[in-house]
Formats: sequence, structure tokens, C-alpha cells
Amino acid sequence: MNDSFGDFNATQTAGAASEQKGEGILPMLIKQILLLPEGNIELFGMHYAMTTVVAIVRNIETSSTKITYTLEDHTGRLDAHYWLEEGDAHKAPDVMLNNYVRVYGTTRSQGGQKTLMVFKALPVLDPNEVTTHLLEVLNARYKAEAYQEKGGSSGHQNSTMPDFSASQSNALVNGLDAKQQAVFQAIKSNVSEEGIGRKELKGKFSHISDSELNNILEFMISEGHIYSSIDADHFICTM
Amino acid sequence: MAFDPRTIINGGMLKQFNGQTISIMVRVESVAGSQLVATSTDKQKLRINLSSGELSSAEGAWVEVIGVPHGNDTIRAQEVIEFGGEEIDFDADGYNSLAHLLNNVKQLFRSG
Repeated sequence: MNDSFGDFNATQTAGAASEQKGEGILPMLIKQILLLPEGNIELFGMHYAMTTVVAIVRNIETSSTKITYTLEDHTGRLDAHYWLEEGDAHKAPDVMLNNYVRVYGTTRSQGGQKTLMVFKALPVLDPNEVTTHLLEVLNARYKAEAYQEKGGSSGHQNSTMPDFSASQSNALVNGLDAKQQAVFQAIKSNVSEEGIGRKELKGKFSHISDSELNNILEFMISEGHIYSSIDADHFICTM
Repeated sequence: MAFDPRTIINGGMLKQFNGQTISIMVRVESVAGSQLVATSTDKQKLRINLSSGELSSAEGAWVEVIGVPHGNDTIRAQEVIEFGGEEIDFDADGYNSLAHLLNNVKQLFRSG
């Protein structure tokens, strides 16, 4: 298991390939995990490869092969295992007792007992991240139901399946109209470190007036979708 | 210690949850001994009785209080969780919306 947390959309995740079929990351509450009928991460007919949870670490137990965290959010408690690899030499996650952590992982069900297999654990330093996670959980839960009611996908996984985890979303950004969306995509698809320049954007969107483009950029900065990088005329997207 | 589920609330909901375990984000105003005076996200002034007298957070920091409320403005705290300090710009409106949603949505734990 490597540390670089690469492509979340891979349907095969190391070590858990036989259990999960599905893509994307579902934000969940611990009680939701405990209520899963089996090991699979599923909501209203949609399967996910992984879940993300934000919770307080109540206990840390280290053995030679793994670290076991007891995670707790306001809805329940769950044990999570972080497997150590040989030669990993104490690359333990930077996690503190009685503090919040964000965990990405897959679920396992053994004899009715649920555990989480942790791929990544990160400390949460900003309480806004807790608020955001809970809102993402609510969003995922109700959007999934609405999606199913609308006919949804016929159970066959495809790239248009909703991904409720903002950090991984390739989907359209909410709250942007068509022009804003187009500008955003242009900024997002630029892969250079310094981002795309205002002049280059004007060239790409010659049909949009300078002042309108400037307004679009201002708006997206204020909404947090983009930010300026090396100077006020270069932009990178936040996602 | 067995797990005790708790409800995420804001200041206005304190009365409704008297006697029940809650979790609430509050802004530190002052600490005197084992009493913390804080403000909730909906601008209510709260008195929080701490179980252990130590709080490293300074005025202006947002902390999570887990405990049991009494009356309109008092909480007997079981624990206080601190974060990154007073520099953090906590989204109080977002948290208020969250508290409202969590307590009003239907069948949150339904999955199919």
C-alpha cells in the first residue's frame, strides 16, 4: 500500500479488490457504516470504492503489523486498522488522541463486526472541516436518494456516477453558470505550476468582454473555486 | 467507556436538549478557573462548567464542547476539543445550517 493517494476512481484498490466494486468516495457517519448490511459501501443502489470519515481518535494501539484506531463521531464508534508495511519504519499517521482525524478507507465486515481499513489518515486542524464533512454526508445521502428516484444508473458503474466528496469531484461545480463553468474548466485543465494567465484566458474567451471575464474571475475567487497564484493575473483552481 | 450518542446543536437549541448529551461549537470569550464563558454560533452567551480546569485555547478560538446542558445557557462539559486556535475563521453560519439540518432531515440513516 503506498502513501501517494492516487487515482480514487480505480475500481481495483490494493488489498480490497475482491470486496469493493465501485468508484468514488462516499462521505459517511460512523453509524451509517455500522448499519451497512455487508462490507460494501453502498447507498441507494450505488457502490463506492471507499469511504471518508471525520472523527475523534479515542484510542491508539500499535502492534508490529498494524495500528488500530478507535474512531468516534457523534453517531458511533468504529475500529480502524492501518496496516504497517515492512521497511515502513514508523511512517505512522500524524494523529493525536482526542483530536479529529480524517480517514479514507474501505469497510470490512467480519462476523457482523465492522472495521475500517485505513488507506490514509490526516489530522484535522480546522473545525470547518468537520462542518464540511457533515454537510457532505447529508448531501450524499439525499442526492443519492433523489438520483435513484430519477431512475439513476441501472447498477452499471460509469463515469457519470455522482461523487459526493468535494475533494475528488470532477463533476461540474455547483453555482456556476455556463460561461463561468467554461472559464473554470479552462483554469482547471491548465496543469502548469503557476496556473493560467489572465491574458491567455482572454484569448481563449475572446467572445467574452474583458470586464465580464474579470467579473467572472472575481466571483469565482470569492466563492473559493479559484485563487491567484504567482501574481494577481494567474489563476489555479482549488479542486 | 461505552459510547453515548450525542446531538449537534447551537445555542438556541440548548433548552430543548436539557439533560441530553450534546456537542456544540463555541467561541471562547474567557476562562476563569473551571468556568468557560463562550458564545455560540447563533450569538448566545453560554456558561460552560469544565470537568478539568485546563483549556489552552485563547479568546476568539472556536472549540467543541461535549456535555449536558441545563437551563437556557449552561452546559456541564464532559470534554472540550480544541483545534488550531484563534486565528481560524470559523464559519458560524455554515455550522448553524448544519445544526438545523441534522435535526430536521428525515430518515438520515435510510440507505435504500
